[in-house]
Amino acid sequence: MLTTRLLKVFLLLCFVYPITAQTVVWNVQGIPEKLKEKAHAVIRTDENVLLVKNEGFLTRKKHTVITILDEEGLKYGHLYIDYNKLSKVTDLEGVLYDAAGNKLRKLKKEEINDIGNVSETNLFDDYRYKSVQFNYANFPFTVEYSYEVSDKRMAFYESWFPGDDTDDVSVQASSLQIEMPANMQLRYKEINGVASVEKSQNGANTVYKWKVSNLPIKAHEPYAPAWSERGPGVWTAPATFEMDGYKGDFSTWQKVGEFDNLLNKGRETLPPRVVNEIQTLVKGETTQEAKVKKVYEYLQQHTRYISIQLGIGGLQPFEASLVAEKGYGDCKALSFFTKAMLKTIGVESHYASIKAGEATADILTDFPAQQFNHVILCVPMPKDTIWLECTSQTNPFGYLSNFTANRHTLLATPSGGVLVKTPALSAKDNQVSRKVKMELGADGSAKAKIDAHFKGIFYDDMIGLIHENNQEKTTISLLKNFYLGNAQLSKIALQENRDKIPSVQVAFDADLKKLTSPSGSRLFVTPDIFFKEDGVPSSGSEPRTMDVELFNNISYNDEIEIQLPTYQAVEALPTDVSFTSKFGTFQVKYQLQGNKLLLTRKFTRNNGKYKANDFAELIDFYKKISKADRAQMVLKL
Amino acid sequence: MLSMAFIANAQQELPKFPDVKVEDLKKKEYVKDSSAEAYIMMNYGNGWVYKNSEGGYEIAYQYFTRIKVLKKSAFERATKTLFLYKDDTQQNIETVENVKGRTYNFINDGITIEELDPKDVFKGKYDKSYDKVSFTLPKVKEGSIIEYSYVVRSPYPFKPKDWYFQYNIPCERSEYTFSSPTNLAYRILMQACEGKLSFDKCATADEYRTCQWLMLNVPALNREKYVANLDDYTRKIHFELAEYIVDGMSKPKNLSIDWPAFDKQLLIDEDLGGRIGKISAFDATAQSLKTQKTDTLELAKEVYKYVQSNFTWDGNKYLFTQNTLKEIFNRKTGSGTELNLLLISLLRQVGIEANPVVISTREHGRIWKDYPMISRFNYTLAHVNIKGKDVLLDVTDKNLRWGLLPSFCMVGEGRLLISNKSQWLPIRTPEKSGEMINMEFTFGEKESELESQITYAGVGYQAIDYRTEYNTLGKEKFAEKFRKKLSTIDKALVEFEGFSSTDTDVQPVIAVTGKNPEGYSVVNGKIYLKTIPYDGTTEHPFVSAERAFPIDFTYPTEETITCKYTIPDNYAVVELPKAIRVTLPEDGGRFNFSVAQYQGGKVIIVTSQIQLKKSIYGVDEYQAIRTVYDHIVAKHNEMIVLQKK
Repeated sequence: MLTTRLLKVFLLLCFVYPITAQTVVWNVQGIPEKLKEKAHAVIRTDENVLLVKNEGFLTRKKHTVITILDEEGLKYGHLYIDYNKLSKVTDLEGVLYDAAGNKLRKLKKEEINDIGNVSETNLFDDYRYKSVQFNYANFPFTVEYSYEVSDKRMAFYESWFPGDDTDDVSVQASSLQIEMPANMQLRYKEINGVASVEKSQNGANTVYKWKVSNLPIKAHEPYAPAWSERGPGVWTAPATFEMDGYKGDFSTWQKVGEFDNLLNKGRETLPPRVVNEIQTLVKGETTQEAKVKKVYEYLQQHTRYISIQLGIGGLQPFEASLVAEKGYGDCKALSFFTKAMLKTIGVESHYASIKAGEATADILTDFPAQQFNHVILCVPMPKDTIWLECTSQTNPFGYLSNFTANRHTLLATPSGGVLVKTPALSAKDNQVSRKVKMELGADGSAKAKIDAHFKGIFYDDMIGLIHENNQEKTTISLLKNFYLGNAQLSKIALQENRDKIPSVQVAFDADLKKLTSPSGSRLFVTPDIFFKEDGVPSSGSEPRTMDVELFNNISYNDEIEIQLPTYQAVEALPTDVSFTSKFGTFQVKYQLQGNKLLLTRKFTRNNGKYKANDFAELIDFYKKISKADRAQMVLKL
Repeated sequence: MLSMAFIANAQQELPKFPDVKVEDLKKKEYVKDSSAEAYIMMNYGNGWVYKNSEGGYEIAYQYFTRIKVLKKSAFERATKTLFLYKDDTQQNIETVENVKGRTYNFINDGITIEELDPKDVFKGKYDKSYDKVSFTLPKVKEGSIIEYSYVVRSPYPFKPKDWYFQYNIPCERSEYTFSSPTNLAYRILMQACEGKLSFDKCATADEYRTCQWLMLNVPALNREKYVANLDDYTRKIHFELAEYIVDGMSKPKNLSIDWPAFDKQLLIDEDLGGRIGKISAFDATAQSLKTQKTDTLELAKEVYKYVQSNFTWDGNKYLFTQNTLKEIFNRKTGSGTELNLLLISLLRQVGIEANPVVISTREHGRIWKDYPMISRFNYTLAHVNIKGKDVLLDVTDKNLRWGLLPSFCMVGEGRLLISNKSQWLPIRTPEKSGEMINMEFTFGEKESELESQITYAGVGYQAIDYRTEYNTLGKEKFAEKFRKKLSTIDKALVEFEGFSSTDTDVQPVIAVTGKNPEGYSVVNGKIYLKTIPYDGTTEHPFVSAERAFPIDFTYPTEETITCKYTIPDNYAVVELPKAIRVTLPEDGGRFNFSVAQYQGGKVIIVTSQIQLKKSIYGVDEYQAIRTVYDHIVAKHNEMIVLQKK
């Protein structure tokens, strides 16, 4: 008992002592005023050091100090370090300082969380992370972390974008330093005006260093390109390396592809049962394309997607035989399995690495490296190349959605990597066309028959309704999609058209108790009610500084015929509107024929990159559309 | 004795389940619920408590599940993940064994069976407290029938796992057996099972008590808007060790406590009531506060503010503390219970009586008042009684004002713990929560110019929401939200009042001014105005025709929108919406809509008031609420017509 008490006193003394002895380094007063403006946290320093020992081993060192200015900034004081079986985190230390820079306490071991097997859908993964949260209530305060990672994940060096979070966090100082042994070359690419590298020697080793300082807050601007397209940074990658016994070289795309081939080598043998099944399956087919289609359908019927992140940085697919046996795999395994099946019927195909995502920047084509997060399959044909998304059991044959369309992909051909582009979707491909026939009652009620086609990326939004086949969810989705309030829907029919650019046809009847409410003797009707565009971009803080990026070409082609109730007069009929801008075209026309009103509406929007000062015009474009869509007709009953 | 020893050590055998039939494999949908993506054909569980080789008690569970897969969206049901608990010592670990799985398919007029490969059962460390075991069944397709079984062994027999009859897919047959030595008595609580069980029997033989339950054709449990905790409505069984006697004990130990015992236990627990105490580091502050404020209420408010502003909630809700209050005082951060116990300590230190109130927060589910169980509680509040008025306090949210609790505490009542005077205490919702929106539109010289001025004032929780958004988004982004919502107002100027004040009693107001060129139309000598151009309820919040569970709005709300138009001199009103007044049964709420003209018709004032006076409405009130909203939506969409004189 006595000893524990003594120990407690002793610990207390230890705790008190350093506070008085601490030299004040991280005093908040050391932050320039302009870095505090609009900031929730300030990165005081962020030092990233990469010591490449040899082709198979490197050490990452991190030292970072963050001042948290307010409650909203708390999350920036949290630390996450991911690692797996090829890497080890050591020497993780943390210190908490008050505003004056006095040391309050050190991070305790039990405050370090070690979490693994995180995701429930990631069945197989050896991905783990360590996480630390230093919370304190007296703002501002400062946290300091340092740690090392001994790492064999040699295909991945460090890419450094110091201002990535500058819509919330300003940066006082940040640096990247990479030390390479004499016999190894560092490959790097400086982007968006980062100050050039400073090179120096450390014995025989070459040291590369980049730094930035004093990056103030850059307010978020809608439709801005990704940071990697506009902010200073450095991409780095190895030339030659060795990972888990596999030797690679990333100095050209051709060689990046060769590394894929190396990882995939000897893994494509299929069990005889599957080979036989495939042979039988394609027997009756005469064209190559039809055969490929059969194989793809076989894949879809016999497998499902499961996320797998194992070994070699998650780069190597399962063996094809394993997919055949289990009936599941991840994007790599399923693409590779399909490639193996196609090979048995004499069709050559290429494992294609790609950076997937719906609104994501393309890879840097002039910097060969592992820049990908997904794999699809490319099947060259005499005429049109067929592209196969192998992770979906439902995707129509040959269709790439905006998850993978219109971007570069690296084909691992027998002679190495070849960079090509996946096909783009045009405004005609991404089209919604809606036809409505509606009877309007004098009491504001309406009965409508709706027939709509959703194609391309719009197909992607609607097809889930067919797969889920849940009446209630379908109803709710249609009510929302067509702004139908709580109308009664009936005769709902959904049909999938599995063309190369697929579409979903939606037909239903809607009974609206109150499309509009009579205001005394008048009825106000918005003829465009089911089609209205309500996505006016918000202006953000002015003046606009960043370029504007729109991702998809899209078009709408709409028509509504309204049978009007008996009326005395049309007091107001919206005027026809038509205009064009660099962002697209819009047109709406009204025709009154007796007690029938016919509206036609055409709207096309182009994708592309636009200058910052075009943004006001984009808002104006959308505002004009929104205004035209809200135009009302007034009937005097 | 022999039979007990036998049961204690043996692996219990799974019963023989009927073979999978071709007709089931051929099925394309579930007849009783065509929307189901899958249905459980059989869910079987068996939990038994036994004596291990060291003489201690353990519990084992045998599970078997068979599922018919109907749609692709159900494929993920073929992946099963188990989390196995282990305590801090890493000695008392739950384990899983005997994992088996199968996939049945109907191919070429025959049934094929794929077995789960034991190699594909992945076991790994998840975090400090859990290991994770996962497996996925092979060859799953639409139409497959999948099944898996496993045994979990657990060193925690005092708190057996719940048995769920109901899931988010339908279940044809759900069966559970629970057996325990008679020297361990369990309390068994059924939830939402009344009249639903096909079998419900307990029997004792050979010093073992065995209970069995069977439920057939359990419908899927679907999520609805405005439900605090779906688990409260799920059909399930809960178990709790109530009493035990083991070798060496002269009389049984009763764990099933009455409320006085519950109160006493928590009051002396060193991780709850026992934590409350003097914080020496606070002495100086306490002294200075006491000299500054002599009024008890004022002093209490100062201490509340002190804790609220100097300590940050770490986001955790645990009933028990994990640190001493001294540590919390130094760290400046802690769980809800820790911070509120600190508040109690500091209040006592300035001489104000304060006591803990334990509750179960909204997402934690309801407590069972007939059965005092500590495990049903997960949070602690602070209570003071000043000048005869009960006040409940919570310091986790810096935007809360004195006497207002976070909305997750809106659970009806809590248990006030005071030595010998513990009691239930109602948790009152604030009298008023909601928005007051004032709009003024004034025509200028020309009819094409309309000046707009809109103010939003928050009351109760709405005020907190405003403050929270203002503080977390920042002034700029919060203003942007209003500019976006009022996007038709040209060059909207957004100003904030009462936000910068640290005094949470000040009402936050947002004022937006600008010209409004689009909110109305001028056609052929007529002007058409929207009755409520912004923030009206123009879309119906209750789309579903039916309702399964009570509608829980958390707290009563009131929204008042006043819209004042000053029209041009040369125009006159030709059409105005009519007033309406709709009420819910027993004055549970109302919609008042009124229109009035002033100054000889030059000024029109429209007022819409929506009051929902209750926090919770029963299923039987759903249609009435829906009808009220029919009227609201209709009125909010109506128009005013002006004619040029």
